[in-house]
Amino acid sequence: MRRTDVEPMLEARGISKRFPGVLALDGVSLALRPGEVHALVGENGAGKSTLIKVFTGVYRPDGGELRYRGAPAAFATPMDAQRAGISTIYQEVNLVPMMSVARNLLLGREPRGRLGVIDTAAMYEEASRVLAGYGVAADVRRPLRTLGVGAQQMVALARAVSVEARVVVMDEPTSSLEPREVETLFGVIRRLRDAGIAVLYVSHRLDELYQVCDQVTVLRDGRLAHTGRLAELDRLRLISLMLGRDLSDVRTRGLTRFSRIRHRPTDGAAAAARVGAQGLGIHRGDAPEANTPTPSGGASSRGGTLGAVDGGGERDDAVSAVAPARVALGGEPGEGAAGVSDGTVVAPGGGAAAARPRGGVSTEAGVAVASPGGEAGGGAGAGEHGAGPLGGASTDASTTGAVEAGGGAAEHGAVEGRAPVVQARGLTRRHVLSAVDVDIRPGEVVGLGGLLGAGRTETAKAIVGALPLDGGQVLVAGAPLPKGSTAAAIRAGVSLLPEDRKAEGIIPALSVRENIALAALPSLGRAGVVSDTKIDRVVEIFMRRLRIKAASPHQPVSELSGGNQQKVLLARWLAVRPRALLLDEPTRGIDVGAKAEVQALIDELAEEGLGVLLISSDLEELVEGADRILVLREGAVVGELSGDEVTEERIMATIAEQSDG
Amino acid sequence: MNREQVSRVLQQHGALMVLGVLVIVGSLAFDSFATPGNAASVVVSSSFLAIIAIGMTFVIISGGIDLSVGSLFVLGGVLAAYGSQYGLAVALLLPLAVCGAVGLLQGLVIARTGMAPFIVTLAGLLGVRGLMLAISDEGATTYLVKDPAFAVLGQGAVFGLSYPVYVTAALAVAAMVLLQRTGFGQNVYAVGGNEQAAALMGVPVARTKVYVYVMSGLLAGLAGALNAARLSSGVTILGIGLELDAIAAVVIGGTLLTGGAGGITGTVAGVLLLGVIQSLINQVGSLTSAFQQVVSGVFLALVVVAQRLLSKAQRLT
Amino acid sequence: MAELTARTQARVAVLKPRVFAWVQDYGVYAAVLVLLLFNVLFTPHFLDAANFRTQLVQVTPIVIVALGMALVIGTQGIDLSVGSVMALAAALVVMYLGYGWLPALIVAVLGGAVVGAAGGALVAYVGVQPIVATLALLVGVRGLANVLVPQLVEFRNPDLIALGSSSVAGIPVIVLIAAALTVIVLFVVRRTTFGRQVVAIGGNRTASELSGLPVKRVLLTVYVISGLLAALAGVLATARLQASDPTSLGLFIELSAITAVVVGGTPLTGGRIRVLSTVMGALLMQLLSATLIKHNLPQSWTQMVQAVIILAAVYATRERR
Repeated sequence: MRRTDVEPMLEARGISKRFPGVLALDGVSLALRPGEVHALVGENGAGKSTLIKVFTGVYRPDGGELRYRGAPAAFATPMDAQRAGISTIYQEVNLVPMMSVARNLLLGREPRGRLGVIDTAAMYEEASRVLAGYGVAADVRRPLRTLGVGAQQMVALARAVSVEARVVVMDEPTSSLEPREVETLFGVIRRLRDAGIAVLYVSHRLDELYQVCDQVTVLRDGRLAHTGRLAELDRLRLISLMLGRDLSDVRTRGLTRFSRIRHRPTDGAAAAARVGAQGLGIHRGDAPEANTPTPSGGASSRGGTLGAVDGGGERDDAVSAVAPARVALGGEPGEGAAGVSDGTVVAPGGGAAAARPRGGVSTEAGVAVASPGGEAGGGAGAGEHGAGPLGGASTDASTTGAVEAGGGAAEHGAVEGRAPVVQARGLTRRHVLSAVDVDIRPGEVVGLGGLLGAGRTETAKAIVGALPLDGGQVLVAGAPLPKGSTAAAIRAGVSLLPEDRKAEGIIPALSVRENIALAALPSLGRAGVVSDTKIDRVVEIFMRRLRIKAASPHQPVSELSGGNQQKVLLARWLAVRPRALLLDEPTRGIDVGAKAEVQALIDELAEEGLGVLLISSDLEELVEGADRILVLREGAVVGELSGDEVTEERIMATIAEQSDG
Repeated sequence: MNREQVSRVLQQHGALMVLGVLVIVGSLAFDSFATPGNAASVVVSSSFLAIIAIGMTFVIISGGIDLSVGSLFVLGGVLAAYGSQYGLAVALLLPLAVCGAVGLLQGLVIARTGMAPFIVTLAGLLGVRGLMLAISDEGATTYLVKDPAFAVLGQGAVFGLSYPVYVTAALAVAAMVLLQRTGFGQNVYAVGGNEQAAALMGVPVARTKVYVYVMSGLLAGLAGALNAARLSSGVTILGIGLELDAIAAVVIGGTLLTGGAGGITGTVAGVLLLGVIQSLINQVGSLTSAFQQVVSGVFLALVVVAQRLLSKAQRLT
Repeated sequence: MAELTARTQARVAVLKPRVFAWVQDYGVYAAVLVLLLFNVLFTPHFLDAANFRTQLVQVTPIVIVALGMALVIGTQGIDLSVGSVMALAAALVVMYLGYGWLPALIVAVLGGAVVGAAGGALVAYVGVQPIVATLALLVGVRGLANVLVPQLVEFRNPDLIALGSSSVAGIPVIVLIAAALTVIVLFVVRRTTFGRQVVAIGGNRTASELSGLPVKRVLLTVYVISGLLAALAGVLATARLQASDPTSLGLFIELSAITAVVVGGTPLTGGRIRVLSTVMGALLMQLLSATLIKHNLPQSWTQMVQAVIILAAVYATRERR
């Protein structure tokens, strides 16, 4: 069809862009050719938006070269880029909502009549004519905001194209469109293509990409992961490129990564050792002690557990002992019963079924065998512990149970049998969520999988009442939550750690201490007067246990590193003693050490009986952390994975499934 | 008409409708209300506020606010009266130049430093009042208008209406054209409606902001000068709190204080509405003029509540 | 050469935020100190007790109103209605003086609370911008006060007069009241759940909502407190005047109060409330005006200098962000 040897219209050659502490783009090249629709994909933080901003003149690259129409180019401002013919359509419609459609469309290019005054009749006529070509038949005299989002998007598109565009950049243009509007949009895109315009199309909706795009570029961690013809790339392969879990090497690579870092259980309490070992999700510590059942350990108090994290802080190589187990596992596809049996056989500590066979899957094995039936029990039992090939993500609650019983299996079903602490039913919001059901049981970590924009964050927000809903209900411990009241959700014991730490989490002007105490304030005083002693105690406990690194509790929280800010927010929620915590990307943008600590903490919290909802774009984290995973696509649950289905491949496969239409 | 259209019409023309209703009610209730004399007095006394409110409309549509106009009005009057000893041209140009310069200064500070318009023009209010007191010997000196031609500008009348009314009408028409039919007007709406988008659409945001404050300053100075001509003196105590009346009139007229929407017709209706309320209360006789403030305040509160509800209704559809 | 400039620039880049931070935190204290020193050295009779007393009594209403204003500004709001609330309180207090000074005072303060609640409800529940909501009240409540008491009324209630003019240990009672209120507001801001919530809401409203704070209720309460304090200031000013003057009492006090708060270093962007600095801000403006007057510089100068100080103060707080 289209030839790739045509001279590129807009080209990035080895572009690098550095922000303080981050290399956002590392030698990325991309060529947009006329008459070609080029898909740009990648997960959050992959560098897509940075690249777009380099193209559109918002950022200047630190390295590499930007070429436009065959010559080096540098755009000082978005206006410069626009004047040169590079138009951008943003995800959020970037027009003026209260001005009329026609004025938005023609702002700056209004037809003039006598005396240089705007000729409104001509303006309306021209606007109607232009928009008709985009399938918009609205009254152009009405304010833009009275149009549907789809029509607004069309106006933005019409405006972008009508200014002599040679390149059109579309950043998730369909995120709020109706299917019919999407069709119209695609019609327009094809028309642009036929007119020889180069289109850069950013979207996470795979169906769409395959419908309109010719070429694809995948970015990951600021680097070019792949570029080529889209038709030559199947969905699963595309997703694995985006998520950085290359199918062919997922096992080996995953394993090596695992054995790289791990925890050494120091000689603290036995419980501490155990928790420490298993706690830090990534490095399922496999020191022998870890597998030793310690009856007392099971009943570890929060303090003890948290203490364990401290103990487990150092890393060592004890894991090498375990590595073989992993490798053995790795050999297996890690699916279904095979994985389980494998675990049983291999796990070194497997003999003691009760133990947290971190290395392995042996827990599930035990479970699977012991409680084969039981409602969800059998399957889910395995699911709970569903250690995929990556080595088990066993739940803490189950572990606790197991340890307490010393016999494991029977207890295991218990988690399954427990009444859900949170039941979300039919959460629905137009364009965002459609009938999402989520159950979170005490002691269970439920993962939400899916690509960006699939509705994960929205689901979490809807559960705590921070997202207005068109329908649906949330029950906490069986009692319905009043709609739209975050405070009520928190009182009922459900808290959200929001994705956007800066905008929705921390209160930058306040100190670490004030930030931690914020949600728990009413309980930290008497008659509305705060007790500094109580606050200091709580703050001291959490700062020590979560190892929050701050000069003092009185340091402004804005001066802390991302990881420490996240810990402050976790402390804020732990201080109110919730029953369920919804964690939206809890480890995004924080350093490796803090990440491990946060992951360990999640395990421990679940072990203490907390229900946890975990949202993460990091598949490895999701698979390791979650007992059960709901996969979302376009605002709906498209799959539930439990037991040994909880693997990266299965998640990716579920995301990739063609939607039925 | 659907609900969205109804609410939009209400928002844009609500003040005009209420004005119509009040005029009808007033005419039926009071014999002396619907007389040419009374109508003229309402229109004449409203004209100075209207000139200021026109400038304020531009500022508010652009997403800002100008608290300095009351002080500029007084300063303009004093400067005009002082300047009238040098002739008509000086009497007119001196206040315009000084008030325009103050507007320019405020506009530059707001556009360049990103400081809140509220606080910058609050400082302007104080500073300009200080300037006015400084040139009028702490308010003790009342300059008299020396130039008869200038006095005619404020006192002369055609068809029973004094010149300032015609000036106001002309300014209103010019402002309407400026706002609706020129690129500058479009820029004002765009900056107030969505500053970021406006910048991306190529609107010179900073320049547009500077212009609206200059305009507001010029119009406040002109209103002050015309008022001085009418009173034959630069009175130093008038104009206190005039900025609030102007804001109230603009908001009542359907211009959103958040910027981006509104218009001159609404503002003129808002000014007249305040004048008619005043006149009606005078008709009742037993009510003091203080009652007018109560009604204005309640009315303003109702209008802003209604605007909130209307804009919610529009968003839902 | 170029290297040198670069280094200087780097040093300036490091120093500049610190200087601004210092100015924001302590500038007002330093300015008060400088003015005091200047006056001690150059102003005759400045150290007289009588002079101090006059200055303090004059600044008292502004201080009390500014305390409430600081809370409101801490939530990113503004309260323009305070001057009118003072007038309303002045009207109410003489109307109910027949029942005794205390009931009259209670009615007046309740009136202020009601006005505050109206403004707070508009802001918190209807979502009207603080500036318009309280502007409507500014206009309407002043009118109401004038309707209730159309002209200046003198009164002879000895208790109320005593409230305005008596002294304890040489310090006027109303100054003591203002000091007590300062301590109370300081306590509320620093030590109560409510105070923490106010600051948090001003600092990040979304985060506060997600943290389950009763945002609307706190906002409403803040405006009620502002109304209460303004009404109290109105009663005290009336007591001192020995006459109720709803027409002119409290005119433009909102500007003085906002100035005091801003000059005290409380950012208009919310999230920080500096109570003592606000009081200092009020004292600074009073001292400034007194100094200029004592040195035969006219009132007009005070206002122009005030304008410059406001801009400088806001510029300094802006730079911090």
